[in-house]
Amino acid sequence: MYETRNAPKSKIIESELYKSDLKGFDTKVGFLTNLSTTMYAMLPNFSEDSAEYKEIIRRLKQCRKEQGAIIDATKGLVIKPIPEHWTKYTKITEDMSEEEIERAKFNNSILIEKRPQFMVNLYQNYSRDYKKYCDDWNVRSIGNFNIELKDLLVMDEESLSEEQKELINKFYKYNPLLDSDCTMNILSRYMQKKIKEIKNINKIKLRTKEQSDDLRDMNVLSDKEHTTQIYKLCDKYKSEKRNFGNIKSEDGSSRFKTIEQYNKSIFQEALLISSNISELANDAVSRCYVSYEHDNKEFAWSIFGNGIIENIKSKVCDVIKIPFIDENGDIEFLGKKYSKMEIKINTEDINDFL
Amino acid sequence: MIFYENKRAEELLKPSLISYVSFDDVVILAKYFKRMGKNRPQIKKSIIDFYEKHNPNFNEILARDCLNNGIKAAYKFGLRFPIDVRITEDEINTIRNAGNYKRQKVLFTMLVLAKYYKNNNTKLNNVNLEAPTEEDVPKFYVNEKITTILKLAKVNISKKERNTMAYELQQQGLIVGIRTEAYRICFVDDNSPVSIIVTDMNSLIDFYPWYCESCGRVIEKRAKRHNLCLGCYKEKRRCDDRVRKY
Repeated sequence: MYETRNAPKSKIIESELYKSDLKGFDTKVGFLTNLSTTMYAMLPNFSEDSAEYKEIIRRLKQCRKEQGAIIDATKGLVIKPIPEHWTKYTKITEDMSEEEIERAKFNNSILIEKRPQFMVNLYQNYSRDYKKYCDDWNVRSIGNFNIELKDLLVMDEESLSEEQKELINKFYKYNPLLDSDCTMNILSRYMQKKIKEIKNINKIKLRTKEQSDDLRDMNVLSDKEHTTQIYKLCDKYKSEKRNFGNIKSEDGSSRFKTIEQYNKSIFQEALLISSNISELANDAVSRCYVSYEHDNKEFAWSIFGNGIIENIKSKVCDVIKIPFIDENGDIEFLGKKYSKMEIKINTEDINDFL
Repeated sequence: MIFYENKRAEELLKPSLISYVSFDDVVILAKYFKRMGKNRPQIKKSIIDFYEKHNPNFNEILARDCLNNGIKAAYKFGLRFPIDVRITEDEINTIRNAGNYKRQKVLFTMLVLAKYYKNNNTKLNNVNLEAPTEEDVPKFYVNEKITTILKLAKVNISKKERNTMAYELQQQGLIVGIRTEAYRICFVDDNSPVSIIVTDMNSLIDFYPWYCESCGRVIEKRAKRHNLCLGCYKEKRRCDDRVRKY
């Protein structure tokens, strides 16, 4: 199937070395590697004694040999193309003999047509296609049962109706990706679950009052009237921002061409309330982080980003704590123990960095 | 959503600064220049000249995919011009029986969009291999996100309400959800007399009248809770007074 021949011997001529480089371009090595990965993902679908399992293992060995051959193709080896019946459906026609039909059915049963599920994390197009596929089935699930697909998939099998079972079966059958229990898919599922947990933990942490205090300068006195006006300005920003292009000037044309122009005009309005940037930033942070902690933080950072940085600068101290390796330390990380040590730093360097 | 592409093209060509190259704008400009009789290289040159003039950050190399795909799209679809959408009495009656006012507005928006795109099809080289027979009923589709439809209908509802609405409308047989951004409208009836003519697609929901919740007469909406005509309102007050007395 994969016949290769030895590369012809030739003298090295420096001016013709580029020809070997050219042979290394546009090779099928990546494609072949992906085929191998897919075949590994297909293995859990078959028992170890089955003919399909043995054939996939044989093809995997062949792929390993051919990967090396493709890499060595720059030496001048001729590589034959990957057999079509590996990746393309073999049509069964009337003029085929029984043996040919059996062979075609067998090849179709182990067709390498779907990439493993974990590849959504590697390739953007797979991720996009899979998301669209899920959204499409979600529309059907809502239309037929008023239940979202993600809820339907985790329901007990006993509580499912026949129609619901059929929809779930079809969802898995026409899935563009291979959701088998191969090692990489299990790892991918585990990692996604863990990342979700970490994200949730960080979300809760970010909303703590201590974090918002770091963004405010407590030495600046706040004026209640100024705070009320900033809150009103934030409401105005939120309502106008999405359609800032519709805000007209006196001559009827759009007043703002870009969001930056609109942000600047809001900042100028804020300066009319108070000329102290730190005070404005304090009020914006208390609006976005304390009073309405679930709100978008864009108002604070887009309009008063510089003021918030000024507030952070004012909190810079000349002693910081850094973890150092210590056998008796109370912090454990990747099998080693650490303890925090105080280090005195030059504050001017920090200001340069900020 | 851009309903009137010729107007959009004329607006774009007015002297103003453009901050980024939008694919939708490139397609509209390509269609506009194609309509003026320019060929592919001329269209490309015109678009590049336009962006070089109006966008100081324009880079022809970075925007090459956007430009090439936009020009390709202009050879598949023509420039969309305004047309009126006619809604018949039977369709309005179906909408009024569909549920609450929010649901009616969503259904009306879907119907207008489906009719607008069906009757204003701009596909070029549209070759029908088989001529439609009398039995072939034209099918009407809306290929828009549900969020876009809600925005046009000026309806603000939660995700849960949205799902319930989609479920109930499908159970009533009024729409069929084919996939995301694709719904088939099943209650189109062009044979009854015309009731409403939508002349401005950008404010299409303003053409849907308010009806008295009690007698069904058309009323002029004055406040959020104003749902009854004057006669029905007086009758309601009379009943309320009677209940209060006893």
